[in-house]
Amino acid sequence: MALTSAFSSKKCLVVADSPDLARLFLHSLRQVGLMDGFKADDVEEAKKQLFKFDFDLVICAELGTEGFLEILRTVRRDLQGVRMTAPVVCFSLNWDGAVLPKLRDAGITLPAALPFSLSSLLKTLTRAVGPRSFIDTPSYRGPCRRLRAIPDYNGPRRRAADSIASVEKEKKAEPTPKASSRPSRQEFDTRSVSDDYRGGGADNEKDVFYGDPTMQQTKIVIDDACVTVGQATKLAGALQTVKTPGERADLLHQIADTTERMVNLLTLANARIQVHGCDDHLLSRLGEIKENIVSNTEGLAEAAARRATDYGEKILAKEHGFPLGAAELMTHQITRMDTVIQVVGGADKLSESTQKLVAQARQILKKVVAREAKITSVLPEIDGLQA
Amino acid sequence: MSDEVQKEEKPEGSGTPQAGGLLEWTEAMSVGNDILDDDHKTFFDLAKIILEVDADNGNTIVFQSALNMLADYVHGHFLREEKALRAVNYPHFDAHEQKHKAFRQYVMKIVQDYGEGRSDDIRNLPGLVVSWLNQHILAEDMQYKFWIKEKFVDKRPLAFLAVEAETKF
Repeated sequence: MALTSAFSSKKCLVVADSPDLARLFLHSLRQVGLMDGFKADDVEEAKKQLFKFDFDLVICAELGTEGFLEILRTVRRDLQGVRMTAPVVCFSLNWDGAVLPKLRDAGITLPAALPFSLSSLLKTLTRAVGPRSFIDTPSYRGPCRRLRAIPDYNGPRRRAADSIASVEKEKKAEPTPKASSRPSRQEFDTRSVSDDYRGGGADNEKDVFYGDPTMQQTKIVIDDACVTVGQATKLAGALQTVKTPGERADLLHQIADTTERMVNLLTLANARIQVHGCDDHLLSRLGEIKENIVSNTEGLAEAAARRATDYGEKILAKEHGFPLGAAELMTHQITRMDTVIQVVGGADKLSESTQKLVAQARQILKKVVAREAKITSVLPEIDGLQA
Repeated sequence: MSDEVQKEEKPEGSGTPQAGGLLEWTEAMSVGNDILDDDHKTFFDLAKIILEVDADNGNTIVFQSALNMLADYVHGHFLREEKALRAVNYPHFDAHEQKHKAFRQYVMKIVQDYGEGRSDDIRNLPGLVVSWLNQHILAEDMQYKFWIKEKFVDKRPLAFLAVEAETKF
């Protein structure tokens, strides 16, 4: 373990049930190089100090389960900003297996054993202040729990090798390609974007292994975008063949959801590439996806426009009265349609008939907005009467 | 533990605080180097803590921790001194190192005994430490006062030397 000598700039709070123990900790911290140590004799005093000062480290000793939890709740939940990320180390003579998961879920940095020694304290604190991600979610706030770092871990490489080996085995055992509705992650590694749309084989595609986790994640995003585009294209194609209005409505709903996911994934892929960069292979895959979207957007944009138009016409026909908020809902549908159009480079890329549909949807939206504005203009008077 | 054995195990200079040990570091004990002086002050501070902690009143964790600390201080400080003395080819290095070794073994035995529940000698430990320090600093360490060179003194906090010493002793 590489010991850190960066304690000199740290400010530490020691909370211990025994003044002697607190005194010994403060004494020891100076020999670790941490000169800025403060003590609190109980949890309440500790809470006051935590709210008042910024601490880089909190040491709790023999406070009992509730005491430990109270300190952790204060640091992780009540404090804000960088203060909530302070490492919290809890020392106890008797650790209970039932207590540790509670403290872990409350965001403890490290549990440590008593009695301690100078060298054990240095090692513990070095681990506690070491570089570690901080997780901030509604259900958990605390240090990242993935502590194990295996230097020579080669799992992904091994799996890639396995995948090549298994593909070769499959080729020998089963020469005819399998039909599958949704390819597995393993299959993605050996398939290109065009395979997903055009049903081509993967034999000539070269599998690219990314050792860098960031690149692997970008690849996963692009792979998912690839599948989603394929699904959206199929759905748009199926729209031409549906017969009943119910089936059509259901299909339009599916297209809208798939389109939204596709746009989100492409936006994410673009953002990742801008931040982390990417190699030519991934860039060309993304280019292929966009190219396919452009060639298939007709159906997606048409579906979005039709959906908005159908909804708007029903509203204007007053089939079910005039629901308040209809304008907002339709605006959302038009925004979704516009997003699809933007992804492919603007309305100019669409055919004349689709452009007409889009324009019609916009006209209906204007009418719905105007109708709703007229209706809601009388609402203040009603409010006034009620008051 | 019999008196005879105890006599054999006790390093030269150790005794009770009343046998000539001051509980405070004084300027007269300065060896001319701030870091080594700080180490010596730390020993006195720790001896005080051990003396004041009531080991029988539910404070065994504190007491055991303090003993562990003492062992680490001994290891870390002696390593710091020996590195600095070796670097300047201190002529009495071997004799000095032997005295360190004897005291180190003595402290380690007491810490081990306490850990195993044999704490007959534990009450005398702070006094023994202070007495030894008084004697050792004033009689032995003073001899290297004009040999020591600041650039050869490891400046890291004591804990780092204690960890390094773990692999040596």
